Amino acid sequence: MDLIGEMRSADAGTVVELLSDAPQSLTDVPEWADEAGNDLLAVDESDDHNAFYVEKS
Amino acid sequence: MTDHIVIVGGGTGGSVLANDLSDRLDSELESGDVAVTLINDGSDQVYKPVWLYVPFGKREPDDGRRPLADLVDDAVDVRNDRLTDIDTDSQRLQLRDSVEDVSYDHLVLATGSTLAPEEIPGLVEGGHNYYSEDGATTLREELLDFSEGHLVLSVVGSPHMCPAAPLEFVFMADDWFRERGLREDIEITYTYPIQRVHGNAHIAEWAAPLMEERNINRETFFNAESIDPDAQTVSSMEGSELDYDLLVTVPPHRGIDLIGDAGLGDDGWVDVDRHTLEADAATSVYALGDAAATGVPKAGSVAHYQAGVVGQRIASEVRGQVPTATYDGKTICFIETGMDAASFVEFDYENPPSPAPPSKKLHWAKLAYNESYWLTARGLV
Ligand SMILES: Cc1cc2nc3c(=O)[nH]c(=O)nc-3n(C[C@H](O)[C@H](O)[C@H](O)COP(=O)(O)OP(=O)(O)OC[C@H]3O[C@@H](n4cnc5c(N)ncnc54)[C@H](O)[C@@H]3O)c2cc1C
Repeated sequence: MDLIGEMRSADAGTVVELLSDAPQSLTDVPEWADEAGNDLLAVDESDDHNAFYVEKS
Repeated sequence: MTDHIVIVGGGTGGSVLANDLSDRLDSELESGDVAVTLINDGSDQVYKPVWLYVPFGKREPDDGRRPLADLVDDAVDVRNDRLTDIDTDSQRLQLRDSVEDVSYDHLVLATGSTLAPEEIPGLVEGGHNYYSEDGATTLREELLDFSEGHLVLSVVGSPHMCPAAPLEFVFMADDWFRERGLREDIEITYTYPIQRVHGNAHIAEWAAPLMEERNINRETFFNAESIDPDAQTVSSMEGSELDYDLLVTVPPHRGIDLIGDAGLGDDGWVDVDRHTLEADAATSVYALGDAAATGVPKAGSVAHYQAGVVGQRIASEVRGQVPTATYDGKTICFIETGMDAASFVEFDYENPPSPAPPSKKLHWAKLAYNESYWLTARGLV
């Protein structure tokens, strides 16, 4: 949900980085990015958190 | 030298903390070794949970107001003024109505959430809300006049206060229209930003079948981008459009701008360590409640628990001890599921919520909690 707030105010082409320790973001973020037509560029998984990079279309 | 503790914001978190400190540090306050100042931009405390009931005629806005001077211990200096600038290097604050700066040794920001409906084109003109005193009162008039058509409740802001309140509103509206024999002529739709009906997967899983049963439509993956008040449509970032006859929204939320100006965090939320509640970007600064970016819900219960933690930590610091109290993410929340039934959840950083089956008893417990709230603010419960 924090990601959506950031994406609202971002300009097209901006890449937003989201750090999350909630396991459900591994499915939530790709599903929302897909639905809203934004590109999920990369996901870095680590032990205690994941980093998502989403580009606003 | 007197150790000066300044709390900004006399809402739930600020007033519970002021009373907690006056209790914990009573001998230091008496001897003049410590002074506690609470700064709030208004003489009343406003208890927002009351607003959920106002549109349905169950409560009056005045039920959610009490003079701060009656709630906070006399040992605390309560000032009615507005913070306009923070300098965390010199540890000084500027206030709107005071010529002199205020210096602090310990600062706590408990400035809560504010609404930013102007961020969505058309929202100010087209949308109603129950997230403000005025909004709730105007919505009451609208609801009384509404006897047929499409009621849309759209969650626009994320994060927003009381994550359960949008679900509560549609459950209560469903029941209220049924009781008045109007439900067959009214369609109710609930929209939510992500692919389920609530941010927390456990609560979403519990609420979705209940909405199905009550014939409440669900539009997920819906982030309102603009509203056309003339055509009465909401367009989403995802490319869909929804017609409405009455639009109720949970508007975008922000903290106060000067938090960003002071370099303490984005969008008015203070970046903090989620266990110690200390600001990341400055020393001797804490934030609690809605103003603190901890990732837990923006709820009064959270502000209350966090106030206890900050109170213990500051008392230790004042006494030259190492502060050890930490916040574990504890949140409790009653969820109204109609006009006379409610559920209850409790969770923290480690343990997910598991909603209790809705019952009348829990509904009365929620009302009793709201009634006794003023005792909580005074530090008595
Ligand atoms: C409709 C609705 C229903 C809710 N229901 C529930 C519920 O059932 N359970 C629950 O736990 N929570 C509920 N909440 C959420 C709860 O009200 C908030 O999370 C809680 O009030 C947060 O407390 P706080 O102390 O952080 O901020 P607030 O209580 O918002 O207090 C902030 C204070 O700071 C003051 N302030 C702001 N800026 C300045 C400044 N620059 N200078 C001086 N003073 C300033 C404000 O005027 C205000 O008095 C609900 C909220 C709403 C809107």
